[in-house]
Amino acid sequence: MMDDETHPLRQDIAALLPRLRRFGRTLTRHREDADDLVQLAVERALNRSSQWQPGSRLDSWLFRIMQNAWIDELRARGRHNETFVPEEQGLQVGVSTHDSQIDAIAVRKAVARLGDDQRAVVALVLVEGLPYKEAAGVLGIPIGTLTSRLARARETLQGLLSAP
Amino acid sequence: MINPTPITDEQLMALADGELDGTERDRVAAAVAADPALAARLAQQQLLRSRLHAAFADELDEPVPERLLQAVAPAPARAPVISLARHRATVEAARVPAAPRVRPGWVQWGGLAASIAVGVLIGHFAWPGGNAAPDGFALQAGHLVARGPVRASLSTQTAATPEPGAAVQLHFSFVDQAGRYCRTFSTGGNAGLACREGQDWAVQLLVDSPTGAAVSGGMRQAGSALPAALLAEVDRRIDGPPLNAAAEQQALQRGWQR
Repeated sequence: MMDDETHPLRQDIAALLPRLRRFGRTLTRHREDADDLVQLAVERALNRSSQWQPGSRLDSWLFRIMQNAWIDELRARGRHNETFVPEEQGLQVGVSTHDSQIDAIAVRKAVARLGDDQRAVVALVLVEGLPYKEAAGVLGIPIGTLTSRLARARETLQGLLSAP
Repeated sequence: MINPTPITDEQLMALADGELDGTERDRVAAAVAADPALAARLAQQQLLRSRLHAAFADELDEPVPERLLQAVAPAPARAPVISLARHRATVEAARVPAAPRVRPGWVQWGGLAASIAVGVLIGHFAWPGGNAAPDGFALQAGHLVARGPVRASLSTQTAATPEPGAAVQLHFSFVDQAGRYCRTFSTGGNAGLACREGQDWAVQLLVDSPTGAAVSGGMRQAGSALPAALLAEVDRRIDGPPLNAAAEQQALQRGWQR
């Protein structure tokens, strides 16, 4: 009819943009990088639209494209897989409070301090709500690796976020 | 009875994540119910889950930047062969050179620029919470529809009897490839396209019109300039030439129903 064949896919991707941006931000720890990554992933997804299987989870497919693109980018920048980020000056993450906004800041800072691998599993499972199986597929790892990585990440977060 | 295997933190996490099924879920849940220390550990996991969820929930409400909306926007279809009359109408209404690479304009009103998913092209909107539609429009089941003076003008005005200075200026009308009556209009610094859906005017596209209103009659008016993006969208949808004055009058009398 009037639109090209990818039109329904474009609509569905458009609806996912806020989640893609959110995932991108956790992954890259930087707003501009996040939007760049989303844009790149969207363009790649549309170019490869025949590879997406209708009925499978579109968000998982896009997250995977983002994850792989980010790994490529890190390599290009010469960055290796970062591990735990030491404490910076300023807001101590060990704040436990009933004020949800302050708590949100503390939680986001704690997540940002996680190493790349742990941050990715937390983002996919605990923020974006993917089932273990989908998250493992996004990262290309066995489910057992995912769950142990996730467990360690949560232990680290519990430590960072418990009251001093 | 054999000592049951101790419940691990990973199992509690999996329970909290909803990842346990059947017998294992029942077993772990029963153990938690029987052991306050286990219940406390589970509660810790659930608390972390909810803190994480809450800390990132608001990010979904942020407006999506235009460049990302444009990344998902479809490229405009190749312009169909058009009749001379339609060509004349669009040229007279536009008086802008044909844009070599036209992207549809995006809805912009106030601070809500680019909050709208690409579905604006077919009248679907994913609206972030708490933002109101602009004056003269309303959100109805995810579609933007005209209300108030915009709706009244679309329903009762013809381009042949323009009202200079009116809040809503009508331009040309046409029938789209879905068989609906559609009309182009300007109001409040925007120019738009709406098509008849039942008793409503469903807005298909709304763009910034920097030249402002001050256009009436559409087809014959010199000095009017509808945004190229709007005209490109019309060109994609139009079926046949724009309606002449008689056809418009007829459409109005039929309540814009076909």
